[in-house]
Amino acid sequence: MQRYVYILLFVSGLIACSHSPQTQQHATISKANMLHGESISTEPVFIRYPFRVAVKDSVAVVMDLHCDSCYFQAFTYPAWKPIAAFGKHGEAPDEMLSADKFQFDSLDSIWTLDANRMEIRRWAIIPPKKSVVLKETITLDKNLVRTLDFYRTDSCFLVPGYMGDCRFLKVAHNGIPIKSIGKIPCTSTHKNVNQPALAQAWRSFTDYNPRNGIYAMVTQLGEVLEIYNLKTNFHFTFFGPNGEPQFSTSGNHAIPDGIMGFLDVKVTEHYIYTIFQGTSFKDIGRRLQQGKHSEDGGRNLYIFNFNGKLVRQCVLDHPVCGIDVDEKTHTMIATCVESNQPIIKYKI
Amino acid sequence: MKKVVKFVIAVICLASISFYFYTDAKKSTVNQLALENINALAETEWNNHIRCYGVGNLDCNGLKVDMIFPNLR
Repeated sequence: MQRYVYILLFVSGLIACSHSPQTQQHATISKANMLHGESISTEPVFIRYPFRVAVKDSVAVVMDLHCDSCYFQAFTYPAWKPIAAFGKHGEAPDEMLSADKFQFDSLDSIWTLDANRMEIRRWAIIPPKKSVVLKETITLDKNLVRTLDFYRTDSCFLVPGYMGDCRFLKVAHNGIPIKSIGKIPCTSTHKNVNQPALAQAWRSFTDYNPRNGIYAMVTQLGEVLEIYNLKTNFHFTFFGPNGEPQFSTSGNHAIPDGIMGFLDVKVTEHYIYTIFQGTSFKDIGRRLQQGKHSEDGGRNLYIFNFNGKLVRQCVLDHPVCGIDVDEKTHTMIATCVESNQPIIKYKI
Repeated sequence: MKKVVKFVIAVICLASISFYFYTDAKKSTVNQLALENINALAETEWNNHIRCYGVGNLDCNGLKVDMIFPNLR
């Protein structure tokens, strides 16, 4: 009789333990200090959903994901006086159907991605004339299907794979893919789901620093950071406490489950800066049912070194989406969807 | 004394098994509730498989939305 009791105890113990998630974890830092930002108004310009921001010398550009008229707005920096809006939303040939990412290299090289049109465009800002001019349009190859992120280097575009057959691709400056690299570092039972759905669930935000060759990818769902050193071909994958993206499938589509993960990533000379949200879709769904709004944006700033070690963790006083970091001045400019003052300046 | 120990062990077993099935059922109920109530929400767009809801930053059929749900129609 006693033997049966022990067997029952063992089995019940196994059942209870099987309920806890199994994930590889990066080392977390116990101390997270609070950062207080300075809110900046962009009046009279109204930005509905400020999703991305980039600053170069005396000009700042903000991307409005759900714009009324134009997806991009250029400002003087640090005064934040409007220069000009560009990237008009519309269906005409010179207009944009969506804005998904931009890269601000110099005043005559602002690269924007329209995933719905599958086009990358180059714009030039002329501050004295308060104008922005479209310089060129590159149509991305149809085999890429849909490109949601990019980084333009001197030799190619780096774009995440959308079909799941590779992690990212090198695409020539004429829009033709030239090389597929890596694979989705999926470790769970989702290995057998169809590849496009897997790639959707692993949709990642990316950044690259050409000076050190570090290409970082952070997942929008779950908590995964991938670091590729394109100079040495070294690759690390790190899973945070929330693990890899959780999802179910319907047709070729991924239905998000688990948590909203990272919102943006910035690779600087020395570190990888990321914004992490961490809200569960159960909570978002529950709030939707109650007719309540869920906060858009993340309040966690995680800073990693190039070996993937979390070296600093801060809690922000605002939920933010996009960031730009200037290590020389210890300044982080962030966008905030939840405030009437869409720009927040942090000293980090 | 032996009987008491056996009783305690049995209670622990039953409690842990019950907890497992309770949390699992709760999870299913929440998901089911969420899905049922989706019909009451004004969806932005849908296709044969998914529905895109709200304004956010999840990519859904070319829209940027708050939530993506399976299409129950």
